[in-house]
Amino acid sequence: MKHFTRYFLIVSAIFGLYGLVGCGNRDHADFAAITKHRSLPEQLEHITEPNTNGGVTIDALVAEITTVDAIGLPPDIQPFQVKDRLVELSKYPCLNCHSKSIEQLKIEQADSLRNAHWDVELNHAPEHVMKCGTCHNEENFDQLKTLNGEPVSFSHSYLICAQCHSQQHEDWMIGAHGKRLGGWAPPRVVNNCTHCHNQHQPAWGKRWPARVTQTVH
Amino acid sequence: MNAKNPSHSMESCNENCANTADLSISTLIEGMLAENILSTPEKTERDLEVLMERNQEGDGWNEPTDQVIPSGYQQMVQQPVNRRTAVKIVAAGLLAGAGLFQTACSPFASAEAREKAQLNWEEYFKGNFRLMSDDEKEATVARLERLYELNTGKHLNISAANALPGVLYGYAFNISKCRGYMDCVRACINENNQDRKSGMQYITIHEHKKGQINFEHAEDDFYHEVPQEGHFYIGTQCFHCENPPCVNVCPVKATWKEPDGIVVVDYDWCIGCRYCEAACPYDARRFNWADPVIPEEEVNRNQHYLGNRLRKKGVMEKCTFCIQRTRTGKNPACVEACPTGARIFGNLLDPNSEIRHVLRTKKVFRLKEDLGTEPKFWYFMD
Repeated sequence: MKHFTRYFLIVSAIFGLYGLVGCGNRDHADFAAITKHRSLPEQLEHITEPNTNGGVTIDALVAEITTVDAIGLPPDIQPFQVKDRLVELSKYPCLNCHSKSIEQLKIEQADSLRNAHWDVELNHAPEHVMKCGTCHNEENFDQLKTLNGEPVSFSHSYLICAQCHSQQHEDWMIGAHGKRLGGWAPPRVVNNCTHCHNQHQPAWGKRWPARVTQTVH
Repeated sequence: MNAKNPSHSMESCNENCANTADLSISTLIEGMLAENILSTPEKTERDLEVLMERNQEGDGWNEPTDQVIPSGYQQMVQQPVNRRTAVKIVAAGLLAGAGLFQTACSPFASAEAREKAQLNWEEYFKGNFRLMSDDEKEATVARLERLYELNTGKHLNISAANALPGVLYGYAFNISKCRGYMDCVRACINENNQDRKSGMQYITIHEHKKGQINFEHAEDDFYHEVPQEGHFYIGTQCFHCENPPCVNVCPVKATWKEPDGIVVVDYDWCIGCRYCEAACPYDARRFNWADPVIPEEEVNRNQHYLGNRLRKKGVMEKCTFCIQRTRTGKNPACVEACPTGARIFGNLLDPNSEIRHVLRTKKVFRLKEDLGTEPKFWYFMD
């Protein structure tokens, strides 16, 4: 019984001290209690330190993609890379043919069964808004041009689209629009606008859904 | 006579049989005692005394002696133990004996069959994946790979990779972009080795009439040209809640939330009670009513223990954010397959990730947010 009293006193003393220390650190305790009941988005707002993503990169996965560094980014946007469009243009350089005037080329090709750009049909905006020369630099067909006449490379054609589709461009820069390649880990490589959209007929068509019910016997 | 009075004849037979049995067992025991195979309590006591004497003498182990010393086996068997331990030893011995005799030790079995039996044996008695050390994880993965090789002759690559530090996965789904093409569903089935026979899908694409968002009136089983006029599409799958109700109800702790936020199932620990399926407010969990069937040439061989490795009858499964891909930095198969860019995936703890940008700049919502499950799956619009 004597021992019991002694142990009881020791245990109470420990708990008492713990309580006193707890009172001293009350700020921390409250913070913990609040964060515990905060919603996940509220908690995330407080996480602002740079993150190394566990040291994982997708360098190997994007190594085979030819990319260019995105240009014209506002200072608060992290630099990223865009899949190069220029290397995919089968008829580039355009000046191979377009060293002559379009009228001249039309006359030359009048007898041929198929014109060079037979598959291009412009269905992007009303005729009074857009024609070929709105985006193509008719003085140097190897380039595009802005509405102000500034030349732009095919690799950076997103700058042309951004002139009208500014909301989409903003979303694309932060990753809310468009498609990222390789994976979620750095480096960030994204598709150019023209990898998903046909610039001459940008509307997406209807199609049948992928068939997913496969019966196995 | 026997036919007329069967009861009498049976009794006599019973007596006879019992007598014969008694006789044979007692003779056997006597014989064994005579040959020093079995030991009586008295004899054991005598042996122990001798042993103790020799121990006290010190360095007497190598001296020749006439006295009979019990063998190591006899010493072990005749140790006094309490009943509980005795029952444990006997049960373990019976199990081990039966199993080993049937397969591993059978002189008729081939070397491969013996190895398979040994691996199956070790697999059967492994623990919960969450409690395994890294070495144990590697060991079980190696066993599973070897077993598959023995069974099918094909090689698998099963990973047991742990969560990456400083990573919490999150997902965003753009409902203005989704057009119901279902490429995500097909990619998911192929990536995650889902049962082709029952047509299991982790992802459901709900077709809603514009102007309302009521999942009870949505069309989940459409097959017509998409997008249909006047409709929009919302995809659901496992939301990997931060506060997952499915984990709380599991009676055997076979499902849990990994440190990177992915809610996983240990298919070898699940007992198939389907409590989690009932607890999930989002219809995210699927049950294998039969052994999953996947054509051998369609099996995805890059697997993770907690992800797309081949399941069996009677266990739960669900979306794992393609754990076998995402822990290597890749996107889930649905994100990669989506042609419209409606699906965004990333690290919630990285303030510069795309998912965090979406949460910061877009109007986002989650389903049944009032339940407090904290899904890590947001919807947003352009």
